[in-house]
Amino acid sequence: MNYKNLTPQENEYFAENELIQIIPNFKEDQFQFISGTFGPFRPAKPVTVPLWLAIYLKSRNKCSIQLPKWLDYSCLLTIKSIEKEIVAEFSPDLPYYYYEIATLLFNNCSDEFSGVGQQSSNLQKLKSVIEDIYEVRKEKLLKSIRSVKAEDTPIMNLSSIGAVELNQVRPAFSSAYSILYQMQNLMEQNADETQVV
Amino acid sequence: MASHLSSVSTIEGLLQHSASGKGNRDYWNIDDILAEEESAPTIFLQDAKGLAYLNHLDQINPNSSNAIRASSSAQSMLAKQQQLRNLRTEVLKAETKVELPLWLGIALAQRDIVNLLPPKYMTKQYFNTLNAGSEVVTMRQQSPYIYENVTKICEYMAESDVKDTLVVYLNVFIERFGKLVIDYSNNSNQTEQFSGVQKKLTNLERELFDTHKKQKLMFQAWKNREGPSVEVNTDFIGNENNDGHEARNFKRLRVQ
Repeated sequence: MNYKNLTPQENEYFAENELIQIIPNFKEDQFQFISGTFGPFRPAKPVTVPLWLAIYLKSRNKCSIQLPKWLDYSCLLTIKSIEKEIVAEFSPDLPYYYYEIATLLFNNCSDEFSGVGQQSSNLQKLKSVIEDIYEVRKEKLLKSIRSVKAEDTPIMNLSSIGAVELNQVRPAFSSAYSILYQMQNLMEQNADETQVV
Repeated sequence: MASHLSSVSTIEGLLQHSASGKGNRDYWNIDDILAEEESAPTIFLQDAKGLAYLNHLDQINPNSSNAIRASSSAQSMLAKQQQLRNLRTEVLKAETKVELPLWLGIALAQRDIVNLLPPKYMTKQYFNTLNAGSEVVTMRQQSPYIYENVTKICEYMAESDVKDTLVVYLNVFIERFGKLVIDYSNNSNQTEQFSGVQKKLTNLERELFDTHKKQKLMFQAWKNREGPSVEVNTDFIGNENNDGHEARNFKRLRVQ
C-alpha cells in the first residue's frame, strides 16, 4: 500500500519556505532568489522574507523577527479552547506548518519571546500550549477513526489540519482506511448479488 | 524496526487480493501465500477415491505428536505403513469433514466438490466473544491472518450471514485499530509493555503497529534534534528503479 510519507525533517524544510516579517538593521538592495525577490532592506522598516532567511539574518544579528500573530500566548489559548470545543473539525487559525514554524522560532530566536512587560517564562508557556494543541488535535484524529460505522464510508475532515499531526498518522491511517474500504466493498458486492437473486 | 515493510507488506496482500479482482492479485506476496496456507474446515460433497488418508492425517503425518510417540518400535512403523497403504486405496465418504488449506478448499468449492464451512472465527460464538470486547481477544490464536481469511472466505461463501460477518469484523478492526494499534504505539515506550500487546495482534495489525510506531519515533528524533537534519527519504528515493512490475517482483524474490 502507499506508505509514502514525508519525514519530519522534510516538513521542517518546507516550513522554512513560509514567509515571515522581519525588521532589518542594515541597508541593502533587493535579494533575488529562485523563490522570489525580497527586499529592499531598510533599517527599522518591516519586510517579508522566507523563514530560512530570517533565521540566517537573525543568527548574524542583522534583524529582529516579528513573531506571527498566532504565535501569542492568549491567541493560542483561545485556539486551544476552540480546538477542545469543536469535535469534528480543526481550528482554521493556525497555519499548516504551525508546529515546525514554532519549533524553529523557539530554537533560533528565543530572545524575541521575552517581550516588553512579559515574564521570562513566556517561552515555556508558549511551548507547552503548542504541545497541548498538538495533542488535542492528534486525539481528535484518533476519535474520528473510532467513530467510523461499519456501514458508512469512512470519511475524515482534514481541512486546516497541521502538518505534524497529519504526517504522523498518514501511513497507518491511510492503510487502515483502505482496509476498511476493502471490507465494505466486499459487503456491498455481496448485497448487490443477493438483491439480484 | 520493520525493515521488511519496504519490500513485502501484509496490508498489500489483503488489499490487492480484493482490489484488483480475483486472479489478478500479487502472485509473489509472501503474506498472501501464508494466509492461504491456514486450514479451513470443509465438507466433502462427493465420495473421493483414494483420499481417505485425509481423515487420518494426524496419525500419518510424521510431524504430528501422535506419530512420534508411536514410531518407537519398528513393528508399529510397519503397521503404520500398511495402514497408509490401505488408506490410499480407500474412499473418502461424502459428508466427511476435512480440514484443508484455504487455497485448496476454495479451489474445490468452486468445482462443487467440497463446501466451505465457517471456521471457528466465523461462528456466532466467536462473534459474541468479539462483540463483548475485541481488544482483549487474542485473535492471533485463531489465525495470524484472520482478516485476510475472513475476506477471502466471504468472497466464496454465498450466504446471507456474510454481511453479518463483515460488519462484525469491520467493527472489530476499527475498535482494535484505535485501542491496540494506535494507543499502544503512541503510549508505550518499554519493550515489555507492548510485547504483551503484540501477542494479541494479527499480522495485519502488527504491520500497522510498526508503521505507526516508526512515525512516532521519527517525530521524536526530529524534536530532540537527533540524527542528521536532512536525510534520504527512502519512501521516495531508492524505489525509482522498481517502477516496473517485473523489477518489484524480482526484488521480492531476492528478499526471500
